[in-house]
Amino acid sequence: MYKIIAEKIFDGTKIIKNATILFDESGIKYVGKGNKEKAENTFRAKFATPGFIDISSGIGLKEESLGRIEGNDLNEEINPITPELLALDGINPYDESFPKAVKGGVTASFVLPGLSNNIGGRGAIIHNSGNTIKDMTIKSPFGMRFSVNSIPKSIYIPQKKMPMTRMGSAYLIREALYKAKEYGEKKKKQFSMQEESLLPVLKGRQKAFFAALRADDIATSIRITKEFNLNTVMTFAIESDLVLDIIKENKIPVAFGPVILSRFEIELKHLSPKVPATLIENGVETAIISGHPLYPAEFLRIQLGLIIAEGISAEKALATVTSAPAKILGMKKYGIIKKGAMPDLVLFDGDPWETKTAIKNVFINGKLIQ
Amino acid sequence: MILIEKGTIFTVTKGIIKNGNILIGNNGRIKKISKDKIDAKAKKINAEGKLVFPGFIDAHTHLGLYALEGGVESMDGNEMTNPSTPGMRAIDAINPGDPAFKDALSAGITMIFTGPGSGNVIGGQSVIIRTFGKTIEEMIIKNPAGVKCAFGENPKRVYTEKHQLPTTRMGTAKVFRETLAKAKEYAEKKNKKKKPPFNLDMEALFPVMQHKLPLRIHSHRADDILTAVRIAKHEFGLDLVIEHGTDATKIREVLAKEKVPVVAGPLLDTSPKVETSSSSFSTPALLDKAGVLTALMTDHPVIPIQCLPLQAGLVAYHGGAGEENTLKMITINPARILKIDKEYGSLEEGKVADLSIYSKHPFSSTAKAELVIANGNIVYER
Repeated sequence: MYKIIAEKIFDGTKIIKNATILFDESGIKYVGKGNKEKAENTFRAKFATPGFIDISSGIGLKEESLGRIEGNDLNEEINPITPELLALDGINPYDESFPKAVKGGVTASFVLPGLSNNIGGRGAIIHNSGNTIKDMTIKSPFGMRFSVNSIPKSIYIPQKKMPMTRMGSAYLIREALYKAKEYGEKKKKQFSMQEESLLPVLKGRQKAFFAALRADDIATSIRITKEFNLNTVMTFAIESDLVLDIIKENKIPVAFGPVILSRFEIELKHLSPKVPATLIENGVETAIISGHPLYPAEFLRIQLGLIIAEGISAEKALATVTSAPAKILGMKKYGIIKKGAMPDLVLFDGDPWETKTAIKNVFINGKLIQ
Repeated sequence: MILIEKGTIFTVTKGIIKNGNILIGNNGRIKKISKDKIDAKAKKINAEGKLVFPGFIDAHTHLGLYALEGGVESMDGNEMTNPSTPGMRAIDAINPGDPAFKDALSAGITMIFTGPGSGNVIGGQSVIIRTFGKTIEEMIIKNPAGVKCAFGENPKRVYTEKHQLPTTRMGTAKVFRETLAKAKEYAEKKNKKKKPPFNLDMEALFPVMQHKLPLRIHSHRADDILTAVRIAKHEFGLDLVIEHGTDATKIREVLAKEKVPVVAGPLLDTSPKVETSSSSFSTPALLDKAGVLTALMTDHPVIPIQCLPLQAGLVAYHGGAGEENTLKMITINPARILKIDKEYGSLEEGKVADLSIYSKHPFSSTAKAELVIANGNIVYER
């Protein structure tokens, strides 16, 4: 049994002052004021939070410090519709980004294929620590990557293939979903890997993670969502505040980010920490993402500072990398600190979002990793 | 005249003055810095409880050459049609309308070094400019201010795809050495008043040969850094600055002995290449401690320009460089590397009044500049 005594504990929604956490590898046993139970080890910290969860990441798929071929398994750019691909098969557990992410308090990632294909493939929720992908996996396959933006166009125009317009992108997604729907309704099926992969998305059992930046692309994503009754999460969503009304009306969660990124593309023109601040103020379920490798997962926490500088409370900012992403992923025991929750915990010597703050300890599955 | 009152003044070169006052004259220069009250007919700015810093300087960017929000249409950083293009001038590509200039000002960055990228072995002439102005002419502080060169993976990658020299590090060194040898010959002829046939590329290298400009050499791997020193300094006796220097800690004693400065970074990114694998926030501290004159870069647009102070915060607190030394790496050290330290880089009487006022230390992720003054005028107000 481990004990944490912290000046502040963020439990997923609120900050509890001067409290204790008791946990072992099976889970969190106790959270509250003073506890006299003996522990084999006691850790003291200024701030304790649930392990951060970075969703819509490319960690392990696009590896650090490797060449453009050797370490790049993000996009299978031969066909814009590849729902049958699994992120799990491309993740390298030895990507140096993993220990760095853990060092930065990011204990779990939801890894998805990249944005090159309109339907990119299925993701994996993983812990950022472990020797094999099997050790790391929390849930796989999970979710489906949809991409509604300029990137598929830029990939397939030189290949002289559809999509070369936004109409083409929407057409390809629609066609794939209609075909899968028809396939699902057939009694006698000739096995199709593509359609089998899409069926759980059509049935709403698996979430659709749409990557869109511009407001009109977000609107297109939501239009397709409604046509097929999908369970959608908007990712990146740079201009999401411009279509706040339809996001709210359809109760679409947003995984926004990265917050720190050069606006090198025209579609990033609107990028500002004010956007997630607006989403949060308006009650949209908002997660903040690193978009790794666009911005390093290790410093996910620093992005929260920029949102706090826009007037968002510490609690609401911290929720965007803990309880909110856990809720979006449907992981009830993650992203929170309470009795029975997963013992993924991070201890800080100051405010988690500050450059000055150091991370003292990180626990994953109740084990001291750092 | 502007009078800033009762601020905590981070002069950088003369310590921290608490409750200090700064009087800025009509000539745009700092007239007086004092603990005592200054009486003057001036626009008064109350800086009570606030922090005053010299204008920040980013000694390595591509700002204006890859205008933001512009896509492919505004990428003008690399003329990758010939591996040796010293005749290219950054001022012909810089777009003063690049929204990144406003981003820079909003974070107290008043001066940048900007220029061509690392696609070519010799990329062209870089420039020191202010971060505001309608035309490039009114922004220029020094032009040209250095000639961009690049070793390692980038030129190799670009020309391997074209099936042209250089496809190896040997090829890169050959292109570099050959161009310098020609430039030396050209310069010798010029110096002897033997008027060589006019050559725009050789003209660009003439001030380098006369020690009026440094070569600014992009290199990550330790052996690439040493190749740069060997050819530029030992073979041709030229001045050079190492750009990036990701692996420089391995050879920091050599660099200190050779008096070769390093503009380090970018650091707040994922290591994109094999040659950047040793990227670390502790590199600037290790170089600094070894006696290497060290500045920090965003390499904008690699890291957004406005993150220069934020990135410095991680260098200070995580990299072990400390607040005071790291502040130097974005003020007086880049000014020294750029040889503009007589006028810029610290808050001292007589220097140009480039400064910013913050209510929180700019190294914090929650800090925002409240007011920025450059050349003695208010150029940004939140």
